[in-house]
Amino acid sequence: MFEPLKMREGLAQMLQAFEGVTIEHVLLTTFNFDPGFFERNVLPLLCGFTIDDIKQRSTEALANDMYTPLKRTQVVVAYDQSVLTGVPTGNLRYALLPRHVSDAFFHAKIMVLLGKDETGKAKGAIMVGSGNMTLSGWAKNVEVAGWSFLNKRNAQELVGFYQYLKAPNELDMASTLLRGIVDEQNRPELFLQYPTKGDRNLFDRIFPKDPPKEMHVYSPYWSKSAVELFPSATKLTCYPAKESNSFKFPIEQSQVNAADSRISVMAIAGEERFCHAKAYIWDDGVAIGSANCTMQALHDQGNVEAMLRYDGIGPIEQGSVKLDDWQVDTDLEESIKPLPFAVIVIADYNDRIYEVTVSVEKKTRCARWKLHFGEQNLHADDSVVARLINFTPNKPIAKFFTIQWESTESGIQTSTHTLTGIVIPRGGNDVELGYRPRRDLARIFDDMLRHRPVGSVTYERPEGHVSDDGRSFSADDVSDDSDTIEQDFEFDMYGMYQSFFHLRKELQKVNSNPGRESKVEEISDTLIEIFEAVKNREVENDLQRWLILQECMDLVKELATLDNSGKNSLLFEKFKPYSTLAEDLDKATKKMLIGDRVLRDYGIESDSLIRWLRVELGYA
Amino acid sequence: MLPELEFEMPFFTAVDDDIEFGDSSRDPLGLLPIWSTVGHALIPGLASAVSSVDGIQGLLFIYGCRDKLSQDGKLNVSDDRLFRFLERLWEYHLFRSERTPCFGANSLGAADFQLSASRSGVVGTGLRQYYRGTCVNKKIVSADLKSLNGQYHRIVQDLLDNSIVKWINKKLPLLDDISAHMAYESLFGGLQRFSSGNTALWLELEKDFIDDAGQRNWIEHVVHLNGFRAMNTAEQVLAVKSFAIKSKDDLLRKRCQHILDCEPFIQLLQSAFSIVQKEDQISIAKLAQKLSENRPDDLQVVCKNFKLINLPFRRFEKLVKLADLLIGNELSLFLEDLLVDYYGKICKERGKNPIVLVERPNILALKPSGQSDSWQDATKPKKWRNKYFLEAQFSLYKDLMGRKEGTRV
Repeated sequence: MFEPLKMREGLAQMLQAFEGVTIEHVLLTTFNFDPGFFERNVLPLLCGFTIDDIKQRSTEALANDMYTPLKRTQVVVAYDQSVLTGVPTGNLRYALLPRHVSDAFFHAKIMVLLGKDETGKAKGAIMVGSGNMTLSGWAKNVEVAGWSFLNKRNAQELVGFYQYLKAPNELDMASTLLRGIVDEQNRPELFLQYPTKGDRNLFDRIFPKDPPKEMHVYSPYWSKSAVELFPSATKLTCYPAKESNSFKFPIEQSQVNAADSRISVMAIAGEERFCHAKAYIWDDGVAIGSANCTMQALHDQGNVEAMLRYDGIGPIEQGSVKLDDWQVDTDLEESIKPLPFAVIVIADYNDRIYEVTVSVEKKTRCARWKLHFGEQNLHADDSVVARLINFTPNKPIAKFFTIQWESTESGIQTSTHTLTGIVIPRGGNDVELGYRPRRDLARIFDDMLRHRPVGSVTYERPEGHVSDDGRSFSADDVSDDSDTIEQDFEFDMYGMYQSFFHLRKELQKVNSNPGRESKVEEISDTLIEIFEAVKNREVENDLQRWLILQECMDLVKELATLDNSGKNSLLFEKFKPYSTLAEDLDKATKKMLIGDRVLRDYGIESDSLIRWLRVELGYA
Repeated sequence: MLPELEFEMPFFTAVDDDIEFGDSSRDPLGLLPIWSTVGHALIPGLASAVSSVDGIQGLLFIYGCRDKLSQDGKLNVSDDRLFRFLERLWEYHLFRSERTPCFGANSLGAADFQLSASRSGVVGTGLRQYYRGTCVNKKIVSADLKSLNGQYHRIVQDLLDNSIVKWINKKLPLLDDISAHMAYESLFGGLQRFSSGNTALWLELEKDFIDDAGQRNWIEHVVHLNGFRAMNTAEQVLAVKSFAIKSKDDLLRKRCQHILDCEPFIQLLQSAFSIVQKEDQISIAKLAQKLSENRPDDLQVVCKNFKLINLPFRRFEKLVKLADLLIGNELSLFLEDLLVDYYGKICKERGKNPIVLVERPNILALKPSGQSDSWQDATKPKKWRNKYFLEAQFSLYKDLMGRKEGTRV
């Protein structure tokens, strides 16, 4: 045991062992979630890419090629909403379940794979660990992890957990698969703790009833009471973590060094990294997972935790050194307090509304709050607010929210806190949610919208530079001289026509393509994406919007002539909502041209210019 | 012996170095454009790298040769190839004449003064790229970078020895293979002559590099001040300011004040960033507490003064937001805003991985730095971090004045 392995190599091993099973569902739970890290470094593995693929391919290429695997495999990420790091790119299909646990943390770190083998039999595997889905959790820290196929007992343990997660759409299918697992093999035992579990606490469930002679405990966070609650007959060796150049442990050196002390404090020999692993190793057993050696994790049943216990494999020799010096620290678990409220913002694409719920649990820690998303601002002193708010017309649907709140806990000074959260989409189609059907088309689309919003600051990029130490670096590093200027974006007309040219070429290929229907669907999806972007004013300049729209309308006509399967009307139906948009833009463009000084000087009517443009550009 | 089990053994994790950690970059907080903008108000139109008349002459030499070669209709190599060769020759000439090279000294370490390409394929910038923006601003080179402007064209034709053009013309097909040393050995007489310049050139440069009478007055005043070169940058700015106060030039005084108000705030941010970088991993709350315990006494004044600079940039607006958080003593929010909203976005724009990352509730330095920095003393900078802009500019004027007066400085 404890042969160091990269976390992603561990996952790759687990996926390899799962070969022959079609993975239908993946559940990943984490305390801290960094969507950018996950999407770039872990999600591709779940989609069948290798670590080498990830290293060699661009983020964009990976993202686009994950479209099909993610359509096949449902990926769900549940995380504690108090510690989101960054926001998702928004163009990858996976579900998000932000969780709030009253006065505690959603702290479990598991990855569940479920699917069926060639014979149609349900199969599952689980990885349990201490690492969050972040760069430090998967690449930097010392963490601990282990995986196993699911047997019936562990699958049952998960069924209850899935019910607790309460996300029927995402998890129903998974629960059915879990119930289908009949494996009776002897495997490491899974222990899940969550508020509705209604069982004994983790401590009583995991550790042997008869006090072990020795217990080695690895934990970055500690509470003194939790240490003292280990049976008095057990000799305890504790491995705290080093943070900011000092180790932190809740019991004074004098007490540890006393003659009758049963506690010793150690560190992993030669290890300088932050040890975030949570592992308990006794005479003939090992438990690993998310539970710190704190009351909140092991005794109070407040936190949501996951542990995996291996029987019959201890004791384990681990190179260690005795610590004489540490900071006596009664640190908060995970260095923060739980959120004083629950907040959820759902964007319902069917009803075109946001569902907002804010429920304050600790008024002293959240006297008032202010929620912002998209064009919306909500302020309140109320403890519970539930609102339905219509989407703002012609504005993009919010992808994330920020909430700011004031805490008066200290009694004297008010402090302000901010949290960013993800707006959870419901009922959106691929196009609305930004999922990109095909890489080539996505690139065309990107080219097409190559622009910066009007009024943004851009610095002219020198072609290169050499730093004082002689290292060449890209122009992006430098904008420090008089070549630095501010300029507005100019519409890249050439880029736009190039992009439509490629799109037309794609269309021509459809004629000779046996999979014509799916191709027509792909291209029409891309066109709808463009229509949506124009509609949502992602392109700000009206003339630019008008030109793009003319190109799109023209392509819709071409698309319809190619489709001989009698579905023309259906296709037109799909694009019908945008005819109003075309009319509105016609009006806006005319209005804009009426006010144009150059046209006025030359005595050109806006109507005739638009007519001329249509003929010249071949739209007539 | 272990029982036979159907699972993998648990494992401690190793560092995953296939995942790219932070990329170091110069000026990680992107503060140079802000500082330089403030500096440019005092000395407009100059790029920070333009610090010597030799560089401007280099550009004149390059364009002069190209023009003469094209006039004879014999130029059948690309401008780029020719320019690269001439840059190499000019830099080698400066090196042999024991003068300072015009672009990063170390970049000349490559074989035979050839510019090297970076790992990302960006060709190291040569003298021409350093100097051309300024030369366009100062009307030495046409805006389309194609030719020298009238008066300079005439001066250069006078200074340029025909033998140089003839020699280059002969070697045109072999330009990439000719060593700078070999070319210099054949051409050093002509190069020396060109380098010596003439009064017409100095007068023309003086006319174009000094915008108006007011600027001429204070430049002449400060460059002739005793000990000006020995002053640090802050003292140099104060010297200009004190001149402005005496001469009642309110605009000049205001511009100097902006420079003096800008530096301490930038130091404050830079210092906060360095402190963060020193910690491998620390919670935001703890770091905020650390900063709070070492708050500079005049933090509020420094932040308020910085806001008065009022630059029309989005980046400045973001800095004002950071200043407001410091004024309100919201240090946790300040750290999050600095690292996520401000620094995170700069990294995104540059396409680089951040060297400091917020993984709430912690801050993670991916490349911890041993550099020591004091937050307490940050607002009273003894040494200006962004000193090179003004120092370079004062050097240029000193050089120019010296040449005009017939003495090389």
